[in-house]
Amino acid sequence: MKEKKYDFMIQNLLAAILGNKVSKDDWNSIMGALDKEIKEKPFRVAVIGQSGVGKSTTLNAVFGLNNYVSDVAEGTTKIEEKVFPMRDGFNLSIYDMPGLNCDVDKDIEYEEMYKKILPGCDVIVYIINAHSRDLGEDCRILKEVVMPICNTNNLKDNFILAFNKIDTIGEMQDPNDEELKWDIINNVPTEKLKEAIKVKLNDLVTKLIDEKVIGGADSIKAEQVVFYSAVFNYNLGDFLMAITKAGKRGWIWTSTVGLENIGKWSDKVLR
Amino acid sequence: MRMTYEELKGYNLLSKEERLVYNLLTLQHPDWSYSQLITQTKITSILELVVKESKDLNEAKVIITVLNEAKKWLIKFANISKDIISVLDNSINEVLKKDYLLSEHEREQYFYYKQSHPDWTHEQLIMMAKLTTMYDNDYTV
Repeated sequence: MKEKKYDFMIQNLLAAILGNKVSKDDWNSIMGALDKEIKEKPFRVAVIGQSGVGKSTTLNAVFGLNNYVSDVAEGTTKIEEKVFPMRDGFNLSIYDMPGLNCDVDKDIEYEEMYKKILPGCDVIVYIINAHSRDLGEDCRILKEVVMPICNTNNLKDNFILAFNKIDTIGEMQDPNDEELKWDIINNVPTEKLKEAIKVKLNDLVTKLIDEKVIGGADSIKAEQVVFYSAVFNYNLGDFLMAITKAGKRGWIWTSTVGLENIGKWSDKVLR
Repeated sequence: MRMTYEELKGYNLLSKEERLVYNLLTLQHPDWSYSQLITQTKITSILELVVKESKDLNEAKVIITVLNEAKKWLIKFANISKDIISVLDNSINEVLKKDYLLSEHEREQYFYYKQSHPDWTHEQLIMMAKLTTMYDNDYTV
């Protein structure tokens, strides 16, 4: 007898793997636990970044949102949870967080917000502009605010450091050099841009390692750093992998709708 | 800088190219710790891949990770008995086993994936071949 296929990939995967190796009761208890975890709690994502880093495009590309537009006003001190129903009872919840700035009073308020919101999140994404000339402010925010909150609340593994806009690195160096522009037809960097991307990103990473934001005892690991272009949907696979490994529940995103959103695996396997 | 035994083990896992990068970094950043050096080395390798032309999503790698992460969650948080976890563990290992004999259909799937994903490892191809075949078959629980 052919049993019904389940709602989500993880259930179908386990059904395929376990087959009839477990009793019906045991199978029901596994499915019950998964169903509860997937449907009763939304998958909570906090996205932090200065304005212009591409929070909206990242949310649209990576989390499959439809024309999401970030509406976090400069100086806002109230962050609302935005819940997006995905499918079959699974919800995605987004906290669109402003980046800190140099206003000391506001920064204290923001820090309090971060402290309240971040501990409830499954994934915390900090987005940096890959063509940034100066990482000073991002370094400070990461070192003095975000990482201490993550470390205190055992959230270090939930963290992803995301370098967006790698496609614009060449244009920022020389807007007139055609060879430094993204190859839109093949959706890959040109040969010259490849070199520019490697040099620029290595340079940025070196600064973050020097500051011990990455690579120190209490800092994030190489696997938690992703480089991508949300506009061109480039290298989103690495982003998905980082989400999968994030925290205790990162795999829930991938195994429900995450891989469907950006994957190409056949429908028969996914559903 | 002298390495501890654990650090040396990590260094030995690096590829030849990565060791060259690591050794160069030790000269450029004599004040960096092993952890900083290895992180920069890994990120340099990641960046090489980021700009490579075939940036197709490696579904097999993602699926293996999902299964392992889900297993960790089931063990820790889902109150699932140890017996079931061991069945799950064995079943996952069985799927991942490299020398597992493939059925005719699995072999077809193996070569299908080998052609469509020439960069996949043998282990990844085996897993996808077996999983796809299992999905094609009816299953009862």
